[in-house]
Parts: sequence; C-alpha cells; structure tokens
Amino acid sequence: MAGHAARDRERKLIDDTLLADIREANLTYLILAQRMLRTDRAQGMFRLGIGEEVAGIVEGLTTAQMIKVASTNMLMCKLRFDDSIVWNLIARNDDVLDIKKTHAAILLARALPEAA
Amino acid sequence: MRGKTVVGDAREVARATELIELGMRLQMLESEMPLSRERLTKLYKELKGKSPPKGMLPFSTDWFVTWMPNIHASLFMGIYHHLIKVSALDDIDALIKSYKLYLEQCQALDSDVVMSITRAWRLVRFVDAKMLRVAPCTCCKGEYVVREFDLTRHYVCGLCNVPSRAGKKRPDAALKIAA
Repeated sequence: MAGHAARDRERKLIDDTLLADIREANLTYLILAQRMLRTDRAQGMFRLGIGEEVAGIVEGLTTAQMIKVASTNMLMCKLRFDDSIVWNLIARNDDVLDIKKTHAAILLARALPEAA
Repeated sequence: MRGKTVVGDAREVARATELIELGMRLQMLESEMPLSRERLTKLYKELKGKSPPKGMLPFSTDWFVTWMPNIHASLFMGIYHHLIKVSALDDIDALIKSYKLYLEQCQALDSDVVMSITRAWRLVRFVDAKMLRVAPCTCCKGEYVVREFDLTRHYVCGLCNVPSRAGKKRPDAALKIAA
C-alpha cells in the first residue's frame, strides 16, 4: 500500500504524458529533418534554417541514436523567428493577410542560421 | 572539363532536362550547359513536344523594380542568397533549387508564379553584373531588389509602403489588397 501511495505521488510530480509528447515531437522532428536533408541537402538546410555542421550531424544519425536523443525533457526544435515584425505579419488577423504572408516569406527566406 | 566523361555527360543531360521542365529557354541552356546546341534542341523537342520558342530573352532590369515583380524577385533572391550561403552549390544547381523553393512558396502563398525561371536566371546574372543589387528596407529590414545606382539610405520597400494602385491591374491577381 505504501509503495502505491509513493508511486502515485511520484506520478503527480512528474507529468508522464508531457514527457511522452515531447519525446514524440522530438522524434517526429528529427525524422522529418533527416528525411529533408537526405532528399536534398541544400533545400533541407534552407527549410530547417540550420548550418552545414548541424546538417551533417542530423543526416548521419541512426534510428537508435535518434530515439536516444529524442528522449529528453526538452524540446529540440525552437521557434525560429524571434522577430516581432514577422510574427505580426503572420499572426495578425486581418483582410490583407495574403500580402502580409508574402511579406513574411521575404523576411523569413533570408533569415540565416545562427552559425552562418 | 565537365561533360567529357559519360557520367558527367549523363549528369548534364539530367540537369538540362530539369531546367527545360521548369521552363527554361533554349538560349539560356546554351550559355549555361556544356552540351551542344543540337542535343539541347533535340532534348527540348523530346520533352516539350515542340520546337523551342525563338526571339529575344527578357532583358530589362526595370521589370524587377516594378511592384509585384519586385516582391517576387526579392523573395527569390532571398532564397537564392540563403542557399548559396549555407551550402557550396554550382550556380546552376543553386538556381534550380532556389527556383523550386520559390515555386513551392508561391503555392503555399496561393499566389501566381510571377517570375519564370528565365527571369530568375536573368536576375541572378543582373546581380552578378552589378546592374541590380539588394538593399535592406529601413522599415522591415527585409532585403529587396533595387537598381545598382538607386539611392537606398532611406529605402522603404513596396510592402511596407504599398503604392495606392498596386495589384489592382487584374481582379484575379493573386495578391489581394484590401479595397
């Protein structure tokens, strides 16, 4: 009984579903990233916004490695555009959205990876 | 020398095929590819089922600074710069890849494809030849295609400062401006 109670307490302290979701998101992200890089490296790097070095590492990961890397309590992908101009353009709701999207696309296309 | 080995030759033909399918004109293929004119013509006919169009290529730099083309040219140029900065690519590969990304972007934006690959190639050449360049907008910090000798210290792009009649030429123009 005492063991049960302790486990219950632990369960409440650690959010299992959150960890599982993070792991799944990480794995999905890594698999997608690797697929993009393997299909076309240059285009993949553009889409991911990563540099040569990171691209090489991700491309070379084995499935087992990916699972291991994905199992952490941190999300591996982060918001790429930390620029309020861009977010205003994408997220604001109004009727000139079409042109705003194009505007955002121009700003995003030239956002280089931090390493470059 | 490229195109001298059988493998190299096959690669060039595959590239030329890709370019023709993207709509590149024969004149450009001739200047970009180490393949003979006859072979290119033959390839073109095989792929398109008709003779390559004759006539001059678009040669004006002014097209790129008019409103809608400028937006698309700037978008393409952003992609192209990104690609050549992050990876070592041949000029022509960079063109193919960035043009494909541009087409994808147009699709995602639900917009007409304003710029043909011929224009895209001319744009890259114009920039190489220092007839056009990119300048940052003082308002949104994006980079836009401008003429080499335009004054750009206080440059504001056509998207931050939309001209009053912009995009109103055709009602079905893909970029809709609020009335």
